[in-house]
Amino acid sequence: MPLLEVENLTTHFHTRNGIVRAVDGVSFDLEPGETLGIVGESGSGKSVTCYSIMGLIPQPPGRIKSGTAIFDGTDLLCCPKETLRNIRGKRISMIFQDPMTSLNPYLRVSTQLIEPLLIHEKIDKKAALNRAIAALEEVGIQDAPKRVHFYPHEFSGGMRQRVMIAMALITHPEILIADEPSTALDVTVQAQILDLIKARQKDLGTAVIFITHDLAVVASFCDRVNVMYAGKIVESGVTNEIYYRSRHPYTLSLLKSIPSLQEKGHDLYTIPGIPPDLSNEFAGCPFYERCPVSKEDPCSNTQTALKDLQPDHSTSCHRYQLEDPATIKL
Amino acid sequence: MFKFILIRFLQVIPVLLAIATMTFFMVHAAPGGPFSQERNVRPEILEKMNEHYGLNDPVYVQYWNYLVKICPKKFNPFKLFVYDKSEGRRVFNFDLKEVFGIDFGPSYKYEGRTVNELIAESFPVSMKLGIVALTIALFLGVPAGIIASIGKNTALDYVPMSVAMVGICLPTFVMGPILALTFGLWLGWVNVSGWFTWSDIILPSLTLGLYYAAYVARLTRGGMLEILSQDFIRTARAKGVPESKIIFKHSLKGGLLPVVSFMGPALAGMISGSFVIETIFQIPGLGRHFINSAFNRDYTMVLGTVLFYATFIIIMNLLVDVVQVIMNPKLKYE
Amino acid sequence: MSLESMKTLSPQDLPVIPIEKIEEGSSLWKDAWHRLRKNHLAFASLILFIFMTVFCIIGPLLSPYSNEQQELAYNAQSPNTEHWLGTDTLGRDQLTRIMYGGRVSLGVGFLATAVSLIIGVVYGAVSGYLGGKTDAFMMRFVDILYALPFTIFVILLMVIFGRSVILLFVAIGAVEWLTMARIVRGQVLSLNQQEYIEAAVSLGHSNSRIVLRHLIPNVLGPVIVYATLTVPAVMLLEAVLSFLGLGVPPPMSSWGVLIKEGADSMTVFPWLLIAPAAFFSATLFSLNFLGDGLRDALDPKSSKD
Repeated sequence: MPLLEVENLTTHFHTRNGIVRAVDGVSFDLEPGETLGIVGESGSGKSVTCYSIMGLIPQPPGRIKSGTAIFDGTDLLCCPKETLRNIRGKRISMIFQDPMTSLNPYLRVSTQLIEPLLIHEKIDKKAALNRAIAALEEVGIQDAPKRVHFYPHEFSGGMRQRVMIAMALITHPEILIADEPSTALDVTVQAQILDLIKARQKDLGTAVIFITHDLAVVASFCDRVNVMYAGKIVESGVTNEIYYRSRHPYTLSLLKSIPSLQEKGHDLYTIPGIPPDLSNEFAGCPFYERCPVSKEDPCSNTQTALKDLQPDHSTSCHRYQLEDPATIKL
Repeated sequence: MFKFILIRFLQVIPVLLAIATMTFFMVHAAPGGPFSQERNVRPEILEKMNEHYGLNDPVYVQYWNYLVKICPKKFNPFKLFVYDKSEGRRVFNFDLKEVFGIDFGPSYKYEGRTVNELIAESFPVSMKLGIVALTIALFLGVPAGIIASIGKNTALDYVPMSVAMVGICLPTFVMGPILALTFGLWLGWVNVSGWFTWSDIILPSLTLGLYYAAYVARLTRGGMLEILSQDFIRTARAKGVPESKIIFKHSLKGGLLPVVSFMGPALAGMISGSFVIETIFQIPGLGRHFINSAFNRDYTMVLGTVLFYATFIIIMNLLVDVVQVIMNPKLKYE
Repeated sequence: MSLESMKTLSPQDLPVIPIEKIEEGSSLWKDAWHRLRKNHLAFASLILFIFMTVFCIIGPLLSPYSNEQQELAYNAQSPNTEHWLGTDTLGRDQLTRIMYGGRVSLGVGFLATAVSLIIGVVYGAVSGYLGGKTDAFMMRFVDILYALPFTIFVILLMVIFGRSVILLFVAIGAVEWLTMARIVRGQVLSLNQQEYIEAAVSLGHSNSRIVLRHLIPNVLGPVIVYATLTVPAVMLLEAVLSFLGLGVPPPMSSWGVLIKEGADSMTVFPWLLIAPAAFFSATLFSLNFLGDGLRDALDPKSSKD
């Protein structure tokens, strides 16, 4: 029984230049305690997917056209606001990309840390503050009893992200959504933050949805991966499958463009072209224009859904669905 | 924080000295003395008057004497409230000489009155008007701005903001007569002018307050929209914070910062607004005294009033700065 | 594509270019103009303002009455077919007086704004360009001036040195340059650090070219916006002074003078207040909306949506 079941989620943005189909029919499950990676370029819809589930899409211009996201018997996409608010921050928490702007500069860290407790749990301020200090200690902030009363700008970037993690996990949620939590940080700090999330996840048994554009991070971090492109999941499977036996040209291209996996002395590989304009509807595969494999017919005029190749690996590529992977040359 | 206030306070001294110097020499550079406009004054009497007020001394001597007289020499705040036998209680008595030892000298035009007395008598009137107007401005403007920012691009936004724009384009000297015409003359609810009953404050303070309410509403809306679009608001939503708390706890402090910094200019504007309003509604406030004294070339009164206004504005600006630092923790850090 | 085939292209053959691409390809100014056109309120304000200006400049030439012509027999008439907006207490045609007054009000508005523009731009540009201690000192000076009750000084100046139009320009201009100086200085300072300026320097472009091609166009936008908003502020200050009897000297009259006269006689002849007040407010209205619209048009990032 999955913890979260997302079915056919479609989110559109109504802009001056037409309707942008940011998320287009996305479905996935999240099991308790597992780590699910969502990978894709900027604008592929990975963040919008999670914001839609959390009800954080500004409406208008955004609009959730269809879909369900069942969490513990509740459809997050169409439940009353009150119900959603009681789940947000209590049972599903979120941390964001830029720790510099994600904390309120006008409020003390203590105020922000105890807020989820005060809202969601019957607890007095003093007890909440003690929990907050404990939470800061758990994410490795020293001198917590004193620093809990600081303002966010008195912390460094990495420390702020630690505060964010402490704040997200203070209510012991069942799901943590991490939206590129390490992207805005220094490389050395990145690793620390990832380790910290991993450690906290182990302690609390939290399921993590990990959004990133960095396949290398996914490999070390996630149990399963969804690869998104142009608002759709194009490939999905356990991490090893995706990493070593990818069945989609887009994933393969992404893997190929990881610098550390390339031979020294060669030019860096980049995917030709630019991500497609999401305000146009696609006749065929959205990756068709940039695809290094196929310039042929089924790809240009027919859309395919994800299809299981084996129980733990599915792809939306025509060619891989139809042909023997060994015959496909990138 | 204490250091910050002290530094800012010390900076006030040279500024006030500069203002005193500028005003003093400006007034003395004016063609004609204070009594030259008066008709039928025999030359020997004119000479006597000049002698009496020390106007025959060299300018630098006059300047020095004036500076010595206006320099604060003591601070006795208890003198602000004096026991009044006829009233049988302590009453507010705004005498700069008693409290600070500042002596602006005698008025040249109001015989037998000192500038201190005139200020003490008229400033509380202007102050009362200003406080009521400011209250109107904030109590109308801030909620209107908040509502507009919540209902951005809906009728809740367009209606108050259009009204605010109309308010900004209807200056006090247009709004004042119109209000007086409507409520004083046609409807007869209140007096058109004067300063006798409690209701006489309504029209002037509305005139002054509505104009600034419009600015405050626009600034509040802008500030709130800026804050509401920030990442940390999304964080708060993700925590399950209810909308009311998003507005009042997470946004208001930052969203009202533009309004707070506007309070400095607003105050200066309200003072010049009071010149107009006190003229329209015939209110015996300091603004009207200032304009009259300027027309009458009542040098000591002009000098005294300008210095008094300048000090008042500068102190209020200092206060605004302190409030800003309190509201914005980042500033405190720097 | 050959030259031959290009001639025979019909509009349908042309590729449909999405809007962003058009915007990319056109200059900042064309782009801003497009956005201004789309902002109905701002565009209507522009038209109203142009109409007002033309009306005040050309109107008196077409009017059968002169500004000073008094017909005491016809004094204080309510609006009628002869005198569309009535006559004042001295029998002067109100519409004609409003047009003459508008010339003065708008003239003071623009000239005093020009004075403030010159002082503010020079001061701000020098401060921002020199940077360092000089900049800190110059800006501290502006901060101090900000705290001063300047309207009071303008009033003092007008009282002490007598009412003259020239003094009015200078006095108002001297008050209103502070914000302009801050804006220009801020722009120059931030532009100095922008990557594309560095890029231009590293490409070996000359100083004059950088100033002409990069600095001026980028400073110009905020300056135009602020100048548009300064004009109504100046007109307001002039009207306040006129209302207090300290504005333009007689026999000149401005909208402020007319409003003052109207307010004095409003209990008996309310139309003498309403008409000039309406003209004055409408002009302020249009200029403020135009300024807002220009800000949105020139800086799409700061726009309301």
